[in-house]
Amino acid sequence: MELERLLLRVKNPAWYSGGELNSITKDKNRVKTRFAFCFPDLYDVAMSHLGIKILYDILNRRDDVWCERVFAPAPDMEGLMREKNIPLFGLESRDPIKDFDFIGFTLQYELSYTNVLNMLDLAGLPVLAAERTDDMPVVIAGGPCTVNPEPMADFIDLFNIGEGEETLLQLVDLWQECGGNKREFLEKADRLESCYVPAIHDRKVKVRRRIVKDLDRAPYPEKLIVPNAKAIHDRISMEIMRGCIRGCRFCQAGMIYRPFRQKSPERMMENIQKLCQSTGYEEISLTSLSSSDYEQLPRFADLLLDYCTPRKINLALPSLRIDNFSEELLKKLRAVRSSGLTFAPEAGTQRLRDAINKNITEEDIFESCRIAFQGGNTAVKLYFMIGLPTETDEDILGIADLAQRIVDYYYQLKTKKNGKGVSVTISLSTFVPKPFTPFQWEPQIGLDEIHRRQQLLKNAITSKKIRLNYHEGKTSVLEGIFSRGDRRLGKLLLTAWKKGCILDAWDEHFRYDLWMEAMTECSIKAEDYAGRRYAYDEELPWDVVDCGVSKAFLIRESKLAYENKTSPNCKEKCLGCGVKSICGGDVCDPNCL
Amino acid sequence: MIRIAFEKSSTAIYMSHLDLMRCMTRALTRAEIPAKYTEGFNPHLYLVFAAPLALGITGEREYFEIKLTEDMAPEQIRQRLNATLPRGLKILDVFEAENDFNEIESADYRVFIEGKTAEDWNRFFSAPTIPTEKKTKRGMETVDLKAEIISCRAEDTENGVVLSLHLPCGNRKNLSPLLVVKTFAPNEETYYTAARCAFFDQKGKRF
Ligand code: SF4
Repeated sequence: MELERLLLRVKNPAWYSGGELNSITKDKNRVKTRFAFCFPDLYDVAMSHLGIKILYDILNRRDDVWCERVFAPAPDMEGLMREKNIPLFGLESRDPIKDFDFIGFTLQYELSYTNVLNMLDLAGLPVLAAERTDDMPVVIAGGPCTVNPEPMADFIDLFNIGEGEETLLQLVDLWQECGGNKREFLEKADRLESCYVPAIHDRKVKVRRRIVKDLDRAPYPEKLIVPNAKAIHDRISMEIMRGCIRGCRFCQAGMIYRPFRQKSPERMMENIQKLCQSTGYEEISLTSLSSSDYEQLPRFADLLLDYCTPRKINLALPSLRIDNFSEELLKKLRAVRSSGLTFAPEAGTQRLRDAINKNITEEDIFESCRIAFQGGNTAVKLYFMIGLPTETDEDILGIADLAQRIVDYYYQLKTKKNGKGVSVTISLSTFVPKPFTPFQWEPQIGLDEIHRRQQLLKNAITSKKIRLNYHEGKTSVLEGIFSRGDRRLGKLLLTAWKKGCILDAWDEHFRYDLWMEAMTECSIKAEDYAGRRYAYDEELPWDVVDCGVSKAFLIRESKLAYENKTSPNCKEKCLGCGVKSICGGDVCDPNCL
Repeated sequence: MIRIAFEKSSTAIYMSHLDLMRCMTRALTRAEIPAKYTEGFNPHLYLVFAAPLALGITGEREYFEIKLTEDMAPEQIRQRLNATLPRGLKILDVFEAENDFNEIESADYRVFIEGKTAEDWNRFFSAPTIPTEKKTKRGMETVDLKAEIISCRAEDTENGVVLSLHLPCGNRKNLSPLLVVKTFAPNEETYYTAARCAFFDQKGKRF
């Protein structure tokens, strides 16, 4: 086959060859519906993503559906595909996806948008939905970015908002009912609660985010594809809960995955045993927004350790929170494998931490460090953000000050190991205002200001024990434009992509100069989107979507931020965020509602 | 020491040596083979390969070795592993090792190069020396391909040439067939396939 002739000429042929363990091959003549599940980024990133594995499994459980994976090719492969006229294909069958029924994209971050256009083009399809004919596949999109579907509305036929476990199968059913008539399908689908067909949708009708009420009853894969070439996260991901009880005011995930739902330890152990047997993976990572809020963590940890220790399986707990993580648990985890500790104070002063509702005190931070240091760790990584609303230079200097005091604290502790120095790493990101957060109306600081604040912090750090990592800032500006963008940005995306912008999330491929050119040509300014303060009473591009959290709640929280006042978390007191409008009100603890 | 002979073909040829080690480790786990772990702080399965096979080359009969913590019949090991390997990897047989991988001195390769003829090869190979750049631990070095190739034979096929190459293989001296291809047909668009067919010790005895 033509493809074989090219694979030895590219750097990562295993990204395009297929044939991985647990990938699913079916007889194409015996399935009714073919689905191309596209993750618009490179294989090693895409194969690290949990959502695609869940949906791949759900679709393929049906005998009449064949779901295949499709990822963005790296530039070397793309070049050869274009040169040899090889259209984008499904990894399982190697058939061109332009002949499939569905092409579904998951939109996980704004910087993958140009890849969607590029993949449609590589498939041999017009990128604009309006230019695709009725005999071409239905192009759908889901994932967190679709809570604001507008910037991608020109390219996507149908957005499916919220958790796809149930709705995706409904869409397949509807498609089969319509006998593959695309127009009829789109008209009917647009009337489904969670679906948005931008070409025909009446904006007065809200699209409601769908959720799965009971995670224990939601299907979870028993097998995972084990990549032949290493993925970035090459391990079992176990989703322990969805949603978050914390209401950090900058955090979109904390708002758009509400309400808080937990999986039972029993169900998870059942999943884990099957997954370990079917993959042979040597590491399990527990995924959630804040693992330590999992109520049965001590018991679950015991069950896990009992299973993992004799089998030499490592445990990774990436989102353990600073204020309540248990010393006990860490000790147990260390029995399996020790890794460096990471905390996310997000802001350098208590005043700003209160304003963003990051309920962490300085005592919490030092207590966590004590536990870490006394447990033998000497490396601590701290996550901070610059550009948060109400931030002043004092808050930025506070980051350096806090890091310095952690270094000093290490040397005060009697536990200091001989000859071993401490290392504190500050990982700095830039605040991006996101839809459906209390900060959705806030302006983002401009590029010059990002640079000034980064420099300010850099100069304030004097100790060699403190390392500062940060990104240049240009990609944050682009994220800021698209996260709160409207439909006019379709033109910008198209222009930028035509100029050659792809793989924007990769430093080596990101072309800010081309983006600037495209913005000038489209008369679109960063200041009109990222840099603008949106008004409370203005109609927002994403008002067509009902994510659950009400605007009244977001405004209340936004005002509290300016008073530097925190709000209790959902376990302490229900704030009436409004999510019961989509979940029915019986998912959160009934006492608090 | 249990020696396992396997085939690496189809889509599995795009696995690097590291990928293959990871893959076999996980397969042993899935198949619940009582394989022994190394001691130490970060224990991993004891797993030794005869010789790394570069990405892109088919292996017709490759080997690796494991140690067992309890007895298991070779046939059972073979069947269990074959039930859980990705496309392109197949266990051929399992047996007690009688010699040491260190004794491997050379290997046979079969290389197909599209658009070339036996005459092209013979002309290329008739030069008194064939200098080429080889990556070694010390960096790039110029070597004489002609002196390194133990023996070779070229045969025309319909759309290219098939070379049967006998090349040094092992820790002491090693020559990749891909270097031969690159030197003979430097155009990067050239289509080729390569397979390692057999290993030999210094006496020429097949492994
Ligand atoms: S309804 Fe109350 S408890 Fe539930 S997510 Fe909203 S604020 Fe939290």
